[in-house]
Amino acid sequence: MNLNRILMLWRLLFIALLLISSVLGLRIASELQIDTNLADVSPSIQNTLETRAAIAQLTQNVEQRILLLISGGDDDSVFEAEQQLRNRLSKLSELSILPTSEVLAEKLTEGIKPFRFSLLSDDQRAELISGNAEAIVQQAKASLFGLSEQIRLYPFADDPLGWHSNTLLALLDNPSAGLSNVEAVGFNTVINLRIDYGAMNMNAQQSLMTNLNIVIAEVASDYPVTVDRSGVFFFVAQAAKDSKQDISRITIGSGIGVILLLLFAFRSLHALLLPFISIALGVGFAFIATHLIYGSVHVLTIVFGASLIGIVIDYSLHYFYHGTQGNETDNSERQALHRAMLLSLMTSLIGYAALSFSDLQALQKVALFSCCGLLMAWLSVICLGDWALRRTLTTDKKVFPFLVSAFSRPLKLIKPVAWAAISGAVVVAATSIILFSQPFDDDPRVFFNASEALIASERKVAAVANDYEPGRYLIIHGVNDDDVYQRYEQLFGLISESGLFDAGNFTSLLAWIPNKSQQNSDYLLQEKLYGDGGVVQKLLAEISTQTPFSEFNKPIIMG
Amino acid sequence: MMLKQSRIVALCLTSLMLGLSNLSYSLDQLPLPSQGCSFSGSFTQSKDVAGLVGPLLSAGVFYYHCEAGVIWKTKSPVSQIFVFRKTGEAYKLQQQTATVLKSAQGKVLGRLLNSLIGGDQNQIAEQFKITTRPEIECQEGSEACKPSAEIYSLEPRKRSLKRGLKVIELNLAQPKEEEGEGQSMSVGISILDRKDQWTRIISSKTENLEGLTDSALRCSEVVSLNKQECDLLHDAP
Repeated sequence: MNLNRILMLWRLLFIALLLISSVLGLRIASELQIDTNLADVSPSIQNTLETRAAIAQLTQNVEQRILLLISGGDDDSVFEAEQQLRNRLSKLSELSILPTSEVLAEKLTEGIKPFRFSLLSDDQRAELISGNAEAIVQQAKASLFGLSEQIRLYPFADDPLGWHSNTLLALLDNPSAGLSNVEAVGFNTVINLRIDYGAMNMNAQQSLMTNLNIVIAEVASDYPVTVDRSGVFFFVAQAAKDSKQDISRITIGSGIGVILLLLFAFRSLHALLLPFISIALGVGFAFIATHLIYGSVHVLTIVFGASLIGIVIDYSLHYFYHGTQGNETDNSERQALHRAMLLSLMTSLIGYAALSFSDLQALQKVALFSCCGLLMAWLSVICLGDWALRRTLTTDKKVFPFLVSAFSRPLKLIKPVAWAAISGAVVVAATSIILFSQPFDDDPRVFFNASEALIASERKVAAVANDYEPGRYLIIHGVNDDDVYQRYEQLFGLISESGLFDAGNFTSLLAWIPNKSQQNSDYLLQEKLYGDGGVVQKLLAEISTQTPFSEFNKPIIMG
Repeated sequence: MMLKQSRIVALCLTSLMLGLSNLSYSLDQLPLPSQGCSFSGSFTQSKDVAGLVGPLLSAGVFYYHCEAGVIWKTKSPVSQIFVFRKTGEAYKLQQQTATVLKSAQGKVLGRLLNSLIGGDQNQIAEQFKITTRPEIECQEGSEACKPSAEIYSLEPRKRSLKRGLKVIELNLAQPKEEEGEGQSMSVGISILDRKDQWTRIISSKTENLEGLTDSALRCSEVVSLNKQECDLLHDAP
């Protein structure tokens, strides 16, 4: 096949790709997604479908969750600042304010009410087993008649002894249940928020961050309070901001370098056209193809993609250099150039395609982005190279040859045997280092350098508020309920014995919902309270025999 | 004197015209008389509990010391002893064993009783928004009306208090003219909790225990209090 026919094929492919990408580019322009999801840099894990679905849901929840901690020197300021902040935040359409812990506690109390007869705290169980009914009557009576230092969660009709209130309060205090309301301590309050739209989208993040910064700054200036933030969102937003700066830095730096080099080598502004067209078309096509396949482009892909400029520019340089060497009728020179450039493209494609074997989706995206970008840039140079060379380019004949010879002359003095020895030494040294010191770091956290202030803020919030984090879950399977409980007990036994972990740091719903047989046993134990002649009947009998004092026969205060 | 009476009549007429419930105004401080540093008294308590017909009635004694705190002892129909120190610690004494109250409600209760019984104006003003309206008493067949008592509404400012109660109403009974100055004052405290249940307490100061020296000894001189309760309040070994 002669050169013109091959060139025609490349040109057809180039035009087809250009048309397709233009149409697709117009379609995705309105729904452009620049993704900042940290999960892309974590290896995928093999799990059951249910586990994967649970993890996906959990990750989504965590990505969308924000906690704002308001701290101040006095309770009133904190309370008023909270009200103002809640009011301002409710006007941000991207956010939903989750119910306060008090509202959630009310819901929990009401939700658990129908099952209160099946729950007991350890102390209550021991008290009922020891069978001292009279003591329980006297405690309940004292609580009713005297000052009540304990909170009653249920009305008298539902809980005449205040017994179930105590059960629930004891269970909520259980650190293993992870339900204790730590935010009530001190002058702190926490606002729980959920991001409804664009938690991982770079443009939406910027808008939300700006709005959040404004309302937080307003509250912090109106009241003597500090507002700390917690949430994956803030880290992701910061990483995205840093990545954006990296992209700008790489693009501007390499752009300036390339312009200077081209101007120096070819002494003409015309020489800038082909390199920049090829870069623009290559990066544009890569962006559209990646967006089409993955539904978004990850910010790390763009950072890596920016490094393509260095490779892509080589195609133009080769074309300019060889294009200015021969003449229009000399096809053999052009054929050799195309062959060499095709070979160069193939090696680069193989190198980048190898990244797609990685478990990290971020690297798979880099592979696709780079291969598409290189192919399109290469096609641009091949198809538009002749057009760019219509105006003759003069290459530098003095400085570059001088520099090349200055570098190569001393190297030529080294004998082939010495070269072989140096190469051998380098290979041995490199192999030893790889084998013995393993200088690799595949921890995805190296990609992020979170600010100290953000980490300090996160720690402060974590100290007073409970929330969940991804990747810290153990799922216990069993053939039935009892089996799950047994395995749970076994696991906690092993954790306690191991000494590696503190069992108190593990929280579980099972810590305060006993198994079925325990629930049945707790229910039966409470017959002593509610059965015939039980504690409640005794209490009611004692209450009804009390003689009113004369002082209470008239109302004390006209309310 | 004439001026004072005409003011009261004007106030009565205005009250009747406007409706008593609308006539309220805010105060920075309560007009609590100086009570002295150490005294004891008795109280009666009536508690409304939703689901029970009629209030639950109880009675007991209290002891207050301006530096130590309050002993609140219910004697009938149950025996219950609370010791609320000024420093914030709160204890429950049961069968001669003291238990530290860890619940927030116990601590709030201690702070409240200390500031109300001791008349700690700063503490009260810090914790509550105070409003008042006069309780008007008109003699039968006569147009002469006069304020028999002032009712002061204490609305909690702080969330910790708001969680437990909606409002406290204080009825500071005015000493009758014929009783003269120095007559002990009885205070009605009505507490409306967040479940709309009223607890009404009438406390009357019965004995002044002045003299700061050997406070614990003076405390145990109070009838119905024993050495253990007094030692716990005064932090005696």
